[in-house]
Amino acid sequence: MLNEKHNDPFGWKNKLESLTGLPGEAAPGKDAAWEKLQERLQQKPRRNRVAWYWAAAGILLACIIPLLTANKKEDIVVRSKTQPQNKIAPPLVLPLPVKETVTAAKEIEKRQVENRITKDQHITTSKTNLKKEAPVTVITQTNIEKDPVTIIIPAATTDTAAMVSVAAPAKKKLAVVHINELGSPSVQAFPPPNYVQAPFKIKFKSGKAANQTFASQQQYAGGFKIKLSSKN
Amino acid sequence: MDISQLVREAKRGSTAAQKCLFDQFADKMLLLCRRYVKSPEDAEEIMLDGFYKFLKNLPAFTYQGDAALHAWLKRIMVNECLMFLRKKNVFTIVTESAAEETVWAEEVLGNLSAAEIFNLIVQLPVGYRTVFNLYVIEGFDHKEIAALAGISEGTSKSQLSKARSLLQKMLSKKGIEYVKRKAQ
Repeated sequence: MLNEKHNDPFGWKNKLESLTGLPGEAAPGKDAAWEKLQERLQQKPRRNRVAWYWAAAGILLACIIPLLTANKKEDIVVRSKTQPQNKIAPPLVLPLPVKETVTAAKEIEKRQVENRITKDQHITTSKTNLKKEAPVTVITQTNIEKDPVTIIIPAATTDTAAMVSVAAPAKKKLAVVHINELGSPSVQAFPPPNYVQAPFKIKFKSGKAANQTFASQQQYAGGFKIKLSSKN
Repeated sequence: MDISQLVREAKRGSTAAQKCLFDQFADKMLLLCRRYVKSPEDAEEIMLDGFYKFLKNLPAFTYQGDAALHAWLKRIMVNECLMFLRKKNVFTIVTESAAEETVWAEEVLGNLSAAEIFNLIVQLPVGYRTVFNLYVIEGFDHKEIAALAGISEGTSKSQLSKARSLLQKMLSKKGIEYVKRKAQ
């Protein structure tokens, strides 16, 4: 506003400032305008209050959420630590590789000689005589530690999925059977060379019945497909 | 109660003092707003916004005389008007480099009444009117106007020049009438 006088050589500014109303127009209602202004002056603090409420709610949430998440993490850690002591969940058992199966078969043979295997550790296969001759090791919780064949992998504490599986309570304790211990034909570990097979009856679907024995290795390698039913 | 006392009371939160200040300045401020904004409704809204800011910021204001208070209030109102015009995007003015100098009929201009001046200014297009108001009535230079209105200095100069030439045309009729009236 340096050149105020230069800008207004005819004194228009002073004339306009002295003007209080326009001749053709009615004077505006000051009271109505003042009421509007007062409303605005009273409304603004309310908006501020609402903003404060929102800010407080946000801070509360920011405090509560980390606390809740921290509690959950602690729970998981405690359970995983206590798990090995209680031995509630069954241990993970992996199938053995082929080489180890051979040693497993030898172990079974030794056990047969020593008569250590109890009746509970055998599985009967229907009415056949196989139950005496073809023992299958049943792994229960009692003999897990003694059995050299089984591999027990402890639950990894770092793996969250494993942690969750360990933390979950076991509903039923089911016995784990190692089918690998029966051996495979390729390995030819079972039946052993000096193995004498007792004859057994096979009843076919057509009604024919036949006696059969594992006379030789070849016959065993060929194998039979037997469909077990309730009639057998 | 004089203005200094009113300001003191209004600072303390007295509604009565605030209303007295409003009554004292409302008419002048409304006319000021109407010089920038043609619509009476918009002008009133702008004036209320200006008074709202004035009363909210009054506790921080140090009273240094009536003129200072009046100037501060006027500045608030002018800023509010410019904000309103900027929102409406009226400053999209085509820049013209050449600003022709207009020859003013000094006799005629000196004898115009306040109401006549007001009506003449209001008749100008919004871009011309804003620059003319800021330059001639408020006393800002082109640099300040450019900063306030968000335009270039050249635009401000050209707008003022065009406003003057348009006023000249309008005044020529008025001047003739005025001369004729005097002669009678």
